[in-house]
Parts: sequence; structure tokens; C-alpha cells
Amino acid sequence: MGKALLISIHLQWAYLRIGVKSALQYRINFIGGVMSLLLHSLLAALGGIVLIDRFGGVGNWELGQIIFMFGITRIQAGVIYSVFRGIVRWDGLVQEGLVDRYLVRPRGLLVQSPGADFDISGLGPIMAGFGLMIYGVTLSPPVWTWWLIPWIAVVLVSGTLIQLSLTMIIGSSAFYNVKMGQATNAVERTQWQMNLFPASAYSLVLQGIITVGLPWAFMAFYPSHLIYNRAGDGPFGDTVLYLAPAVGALAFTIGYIVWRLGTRRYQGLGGM
Amino acid sequence: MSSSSLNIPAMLAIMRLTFRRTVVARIDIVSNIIFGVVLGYAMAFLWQTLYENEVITPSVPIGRMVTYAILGSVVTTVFQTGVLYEGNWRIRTGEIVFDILRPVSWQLNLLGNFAGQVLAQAVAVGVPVVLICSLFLDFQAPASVVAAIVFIPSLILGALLGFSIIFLIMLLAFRYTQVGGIESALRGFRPLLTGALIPLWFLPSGVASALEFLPFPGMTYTPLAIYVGEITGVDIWLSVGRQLIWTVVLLTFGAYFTNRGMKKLSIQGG
Repeated sequence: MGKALLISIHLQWAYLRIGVKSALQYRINFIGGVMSLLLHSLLAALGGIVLIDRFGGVGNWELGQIIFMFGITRIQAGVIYSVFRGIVRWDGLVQEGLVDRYLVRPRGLLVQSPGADFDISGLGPIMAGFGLMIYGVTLSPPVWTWWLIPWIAVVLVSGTLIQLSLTMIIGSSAFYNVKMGQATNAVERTQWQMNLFPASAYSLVLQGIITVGLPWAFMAFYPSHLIYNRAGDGPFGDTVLYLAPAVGALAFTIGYIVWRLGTRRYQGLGGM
Repeated sequence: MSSSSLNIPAMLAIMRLTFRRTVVARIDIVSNIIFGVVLGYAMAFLWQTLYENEVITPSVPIGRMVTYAILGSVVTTVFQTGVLYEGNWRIRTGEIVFDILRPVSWQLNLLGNFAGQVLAQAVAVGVPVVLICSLFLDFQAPASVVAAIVFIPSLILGALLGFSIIFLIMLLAFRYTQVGGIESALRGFRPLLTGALIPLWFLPSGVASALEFLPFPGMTYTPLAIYVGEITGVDIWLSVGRQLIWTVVLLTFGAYFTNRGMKKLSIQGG
């Protein structure tokens, strides 16, 4: 198990290096891709800032706090975009009949996904996300305690796992011969627009959906209550504020099971 | 441009085929409806929350703003197609040689593809999302008879503008091979630059004026603002005229640069 994990990490690193080198071959796309996704995140934040500034806050959250939360979600989205984007692009390989060459390799399809489609453009949202987080804490500084930085790191990882889970569920549809290209876009579009504002801006039903159904509220909204010392603020009690790591792990497990079922089903087709 | 390249019946045939291909992708359609409704609801509630702050007194009543928010979410979903990604892929892999053998120009070929996808999504996704949202939210009818009449042509011009912009970006692939990153960013920029997320009247006047000189608001803001009655009287015709001019200019640029791209492709082939 430990050796397999080390090999997987080594492979991911190798894919990362190959991806960067390959991306640098198309320099305009590399620079254009990184810059345009960076600008997209910043422009989205600017749109939110203009609106929130005009209306004097939203959902009882200050402007800086909202920018900070949006920054967290952009970093998570950037990691998925760069490293795990290949997961939702297996459908093209399935249609072309090219999956078999990946199946004969001694590693699972999930580990090979970054190699299938690595996209360095995700650096844009990551850079923008860090910038927005810094700007956010400058506008609305939290009370700094020893656990704040480790907690932010945990939030970044657990939110990425939640996002990865959704990516795996959508990606696994390729192995059922289902076309879901536009669905991926629909999910991404809904998610980033909703993440631009705190969950408390939405109705109680929508807050319930993004807490229980699609646990997006655990990516930044609930954990930020602890960062900004806002316990007792939400409609679902204080317990949810601490659950981000557990939800991340659970979401990843569910996503991984769905992914495994999909890939096993595809391998079964070969024997038909 | 030869007469065969302006083969409208061929383009319509491509459109019909794409329409059928799009509506049979049931999971795609269902998930687009679900997330379209979620986004419509989210944006409608966001505006209600913002209005409840009572920091400013917006000139636009909340009912109109909710209608705008729902339509903005729907139009963004409906106009989202895979044409840019597919076109880029065909240039990159060389599959474009099969397209240019067809008796229709490459631009019209892709326009047929785009129109088929948009029409399918409008019928299969847009209409159900609006109906579902209007069951529980204050979705209003067009502001006037003129608004109702002009809304659809303006929306079609908005779709054509959207196509002409993504087509120009795709042509960069003749030179730079890979434009996927720019495509991804375009998906993100669209709700902001087109006014689908935040209407131009809520932006600072300088930003709104600058945006009005660009083609982007014509994609979404213009038809929606006409629908809710924020563009009225002679301004309706001025706005639609601006949409028309931008569409013609950008499609002409597209045709010109396609010809240049094809020459480059022939040289590489030789």
C-alpha cells in the first residue's frame, strides 16, 4: 500500500513535469491560458466587489471575508483544473477506443488521468486565489491564532477532495457510454457563480442542497466561520463548521467508489 | 467566396443533425436542467437578499430583477456549446481536411453546428428551466408588446454574436494550434462581460459605458434588458442596430481570417 502510494505520487510528479514541458511548447496558449483564467478569477471577484460594495455587504458577511472565501474556492478549482481535469475527459478516449492502451499499464486510470489531459492553465485560478485570500485578510483581518494557518491548509485540501469527488462522478459517466460534456460545464458554471457569494445569501432550501446534496458550502463557507470567529451564525448549528475534513474524506470515498464501478464496468465490456 | 461555400441548405442540414444529436444526450440535458434551475434560483435569491439590505433604492423593481436573473442564467446555459473545443480539436488533429471538402464554408459549417446545439438547448433546457423557475419565483412577462416582439430577434443576434466571437478565437488555432485555455476563460468571462450575472445598470457608469462600446453586452444584456423594459423606445432600435453591426463586422472578419487560415493550411499540406 505504502509503496503503491509512493509510486502514484512519483507518477503524478512525472506527469506534472511532462505537462509543464508540453504546455510550454504552445507558449501563446500557455501564457494566454494562465493569464485568461487568472483574469477570469480576478474579474469575477471584481464583479462581486462592485455588487457587494454597492449593496453594503451580502448575507451578513463583510466584503473582505467574501473575497477571502472566494479565493479559497479558486485555489481548489485551479488544482482540479490543472491536475485532475483529465478525469472528465476520458469520454473522448472511450469514443476513440484509446482507453485500452491505458488499461494495460500497471496503474489505475485515476492515477493516469493527469497524463491523459494535463492543463497548466489552472495556475491562473491558483495565483488569483492566493492573491484574493491575501487581499481578503487585508480588508477583514481574522484574529490570528496558532491553528489558523493549519486549518486553512486543511480547508484547502478537504475542499479540493470535495471538488475531486464531483469530478470523478462526472468523469466515470464516460465508462457508461454517456455523453456529459455540457454537464461538466453546467456544474462548473453553477458552482463558481454560487461560490462568488456566501451561502447565507441563498434560500434555506438552496443552503440545504449545498450542505447535504452537493457539499460546496464545506469548501469555504462553513470553515470560514471558524476563521472569522462567527460560530452560532449558521442555520444548521455549529457542528457543521468543523466537518469540512470529514466531508472531504467522505465525498472522496464516494467519488472513488463510483469511479471504480465505472472503470470496472468498462473493463467488463472488453470481455463481451 | 464561391456559391457552394454559401450553401445555406447544407448549413441547415448540419443544424438539424446537430439538433438531433444534442437532444438525444439525455444525461447532458437533464443535468443542464437541474443545474440551470439551481443557478436560476440561486441568482434570484441573491438579488432578493441584496435588495433586502436597503442600503440603496434600486431603480429596477425586484420582480424585474428576478426575471433578469433567471433569464441570464438560462441564456448563459443555452449559449454554452462545445463548438470552440471541437473546432480547435479538428484543426489540431488535421480532421479539418474532411470539413473543407464539404460543399459549405467552414464558417457556415460550424455556424450550423452551433445553431443546432443552441436551438436544442433552448428547447430542451431553456424552456423547462424557465417554466420550473416561474412556478416558485416572480418571473414576469415581457414589459411591453414591443419588448415581446423584439426580444427573440435580439436573442438570435446575441447568439450570432456569441458564435462570431468564439469563431474568431478558434481561428487562432491555425497559428497557435491549441486555444483550450482561452476557451475555458471565455466560459468564465461570459457571465460577467455580457451582463448575464450583473446587469450593466448596476456597474459603475464608466465601466458600463466602456462595455457598451464592446460586442459582449449584445450577447445577453441587450435582449434581457429589452425583455424586462430597461431598454425602451428608440433605444431598443439603437441597441438592436448595434448588435447587428457587431455581428456583421465580426462574421466578416471571421470569413476573411478563415480564408487566410485555409491558405496557411494548404501551404502546410504541400
